[in-house]
Amino acid sequence: MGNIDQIIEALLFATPEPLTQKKINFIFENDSSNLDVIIERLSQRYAEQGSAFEIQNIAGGFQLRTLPDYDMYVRRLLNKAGQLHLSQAALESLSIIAYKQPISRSDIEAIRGVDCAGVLKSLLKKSLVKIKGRDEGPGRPLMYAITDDFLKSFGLNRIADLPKLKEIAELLEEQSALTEQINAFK
Amino acid sequence: MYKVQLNKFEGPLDLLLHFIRRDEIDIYDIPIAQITAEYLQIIEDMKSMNLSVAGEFILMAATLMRIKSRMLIPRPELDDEGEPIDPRTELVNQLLEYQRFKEVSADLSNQWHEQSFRHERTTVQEVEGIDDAGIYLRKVNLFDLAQYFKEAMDKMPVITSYEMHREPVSLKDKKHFILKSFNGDGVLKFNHLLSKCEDKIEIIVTFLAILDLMRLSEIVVFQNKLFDDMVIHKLEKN
Repeated sequence: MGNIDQIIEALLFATPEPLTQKKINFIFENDSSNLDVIIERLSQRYAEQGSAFEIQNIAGGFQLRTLPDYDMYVRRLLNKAGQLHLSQAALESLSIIAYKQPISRSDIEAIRGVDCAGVLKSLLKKSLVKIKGRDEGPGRPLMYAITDDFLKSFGLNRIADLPKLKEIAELLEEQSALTEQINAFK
Repeated sequence: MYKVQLNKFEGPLDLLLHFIRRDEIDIYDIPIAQITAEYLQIIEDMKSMNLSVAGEFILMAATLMRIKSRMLIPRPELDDEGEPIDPRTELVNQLLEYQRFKEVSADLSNQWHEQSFRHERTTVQEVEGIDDAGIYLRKVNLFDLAQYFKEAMDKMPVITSYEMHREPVSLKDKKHFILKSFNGDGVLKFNHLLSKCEDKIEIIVTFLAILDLMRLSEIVVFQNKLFDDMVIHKLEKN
């Protein structure tokens, strides 16, 4: 199986969705290879060759993407307009949903302190968030969660790859301050 | 006076955070009186610019004033452990939580920006086996269905003209009929009137006619007990 790397490369090229280990298992039936290892080799080769692509670990799979250097040309080719701009309201709501999902609208509003009906609607339309069901609590409100499109748009593999909330950093800071105080008493 | 461009605030919490940053206030020790005064000034400015002040700004103003008044109470409220409760705690926690997400959203914005430079292959999927419904159904979720349903409903022809049937019985005729139905003693059973009605609307009009005749003091109605037949007496005109 000397050409397994090439097979995976072909699959990466052809796939419309991120390529997952599950799909590889399905394609090779019993005789499947570890995708991570092959991707590692391919990525290294691309880097050495100075390729225009990179392989991104995104939304639970792997996907070929063009490097940022060629953005301008690809954009012209595809007749893509300028970047889609996300408003501050959209970003705030997205970050709350991403960290607290599934979450109801009223809980999002409690954090932001403003009405979120409009922004949620536009996020649903952009398919960055989805309705994941209803809460069992009073009023059975709709619960929002982020989508695979969200992960793709932000270049994330999993939710856990999101930047850490400041909370943890602050806690550590407080602890060191506390230690200092204790030391001062000694 | 400090001029603030209002549209750059996402809401009351954002506005408060702006004050806190600008005046380098310790978020755990907010001078409520000062902040409240500034906040109310902003709301006044919004009003003077004929901006409709959103409800959430008013709500925050009320919250600030409540905290301020609670801080004036000489004996502080105590929590379960007998420690005095700072009336500002709740607001501070809310501000801190909001600030956290505001910071994260800045990070997210960068990530969004960087990812937008990387393009995936644009594949147009050709669908060959039409019997394979899975391909069509794959990306449709409940929300999409609801959306399509709404669009379909919105496209429904709007009916602007209705056909109205003229009511076969008029109140005036019915009143006249009732007055003519009395026997020699000036007494009439309600059931008797009902037995002459052909449909529901006529029963309703009969009832209305009776009410109207009562109002005009032309009749009085008696009922001996609940669910008994009603007896209508004609009043003699003076």
